[in-house]
Amino acid sequence: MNDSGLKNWYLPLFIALVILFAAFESAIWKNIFEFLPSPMIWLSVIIYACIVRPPFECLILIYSTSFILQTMTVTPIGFMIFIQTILMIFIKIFKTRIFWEGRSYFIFLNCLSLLIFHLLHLFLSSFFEENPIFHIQAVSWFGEMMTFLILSPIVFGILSFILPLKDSQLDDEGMTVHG
Amino acid sequence: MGLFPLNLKKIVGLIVILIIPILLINVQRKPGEVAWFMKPVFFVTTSLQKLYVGFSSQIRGTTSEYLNLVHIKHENQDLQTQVSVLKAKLVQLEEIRLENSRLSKMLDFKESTPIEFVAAKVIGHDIVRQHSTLVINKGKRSGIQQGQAVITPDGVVGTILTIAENFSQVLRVTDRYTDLDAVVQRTRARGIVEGLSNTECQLKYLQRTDDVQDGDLVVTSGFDGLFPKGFPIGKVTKVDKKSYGITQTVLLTPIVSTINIEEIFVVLKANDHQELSKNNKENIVDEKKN
Repeated sequence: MNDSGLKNWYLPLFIALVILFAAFESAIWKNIFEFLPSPMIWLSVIIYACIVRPPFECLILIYSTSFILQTMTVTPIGFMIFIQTILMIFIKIFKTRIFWEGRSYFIFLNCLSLLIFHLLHLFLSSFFEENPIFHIQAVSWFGEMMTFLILSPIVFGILSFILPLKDSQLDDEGMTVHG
Repeated sequence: MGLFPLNLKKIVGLIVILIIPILLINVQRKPGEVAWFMKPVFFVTTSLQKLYVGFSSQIRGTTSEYLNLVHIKHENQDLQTQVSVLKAKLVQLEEIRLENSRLSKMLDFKESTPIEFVAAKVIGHDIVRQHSTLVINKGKRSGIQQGQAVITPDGVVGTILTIAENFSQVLRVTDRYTDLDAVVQRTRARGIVEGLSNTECQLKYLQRTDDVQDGDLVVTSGFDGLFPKGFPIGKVTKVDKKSYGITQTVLLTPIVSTINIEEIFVVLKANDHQELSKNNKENIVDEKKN
């Protein structure tokens, strides 16, 4: 897509995609593929935005989607924002050291982020909740990654159509590329 | 050069963006009516979920149709087309029959109990694995209020957490934020049921001397005035008595499965302390046997 024409529309587009994907998982995935762990594709939109967009825009995306997603989960908004902010910082740091163009980079970061999401949730739950998370559902986490791998061509296709995952995105943020 | 070039401005920025969510963690979500500013958001997301649910029903029909056709040898193209059309119609009819059977069961249940209900359709599930909530297509307009009990003819589903005009969020019995007053049906030992994971909950605060065994049915006590008394919550799967302490740990599997819930009842008036009619109990026991 033409970057200049869409520059002001990336944020609303990403927000709309998060809502669409989250509603898809909430209503369709659990209805049809109930035996498969849902891959949290709404999170992958945020991960992608963290790779290709500047930090301030990512923060707006994180805050606004955390607020909207309160209609589809009972997870406290503070948890959602904190976890995603940490993920954003992680991705930004990671990207300054390691970056390659293409789908595999997105898949790699997404799988890593899914794991970090669950570990941070576990950590926050044990600190702030009266009845913290009881089971470490490692098999389900792995299952989520696997289902994401299956869906990744579609998700990446949609996201890269909106904004391609290119090395030039790094320049937008004023960061130096190493390696 | 370091791993990530930091200066004072960046450090302050980092601290600020991390402190805000930590402060927000302490802002607990209050159960009850959805705030005015959340109503449009609720409207958009639930409308989407409703749309998706309609779409997924169609997909389910088509998927089962495909699976049915896998083992059929195709004699010729005309017959195949004909069979496909007929099969598609059959699947639709089967879906209608199943729905009819479910709704008849719910209607029987509704007519044979003294409890006031409102029936609702499930249109969404929680998007985060660590929680277990549902979104239903009935809200304040149907007389639903925060804290009301949500059940199916089989057993307890959960309680109403938040309400909007036409939608509500249900906190399932397996969610970690749930606590319900319950008793062990066989021995009347009383405790509190709390959620653990999507498939499990626990019965807490049971005394060490209380008699609980694997397979015991845990039912609602009725003391909370929300749930009808004697309604099944779950079956005991594990009893753990440590060599010390005054309580015991009891794990339960909920009677109502975490998947495949399509229709539920919201209890508007539980008729406090009213035991379930004998007829219903027999129905429940029969279902368990089947």
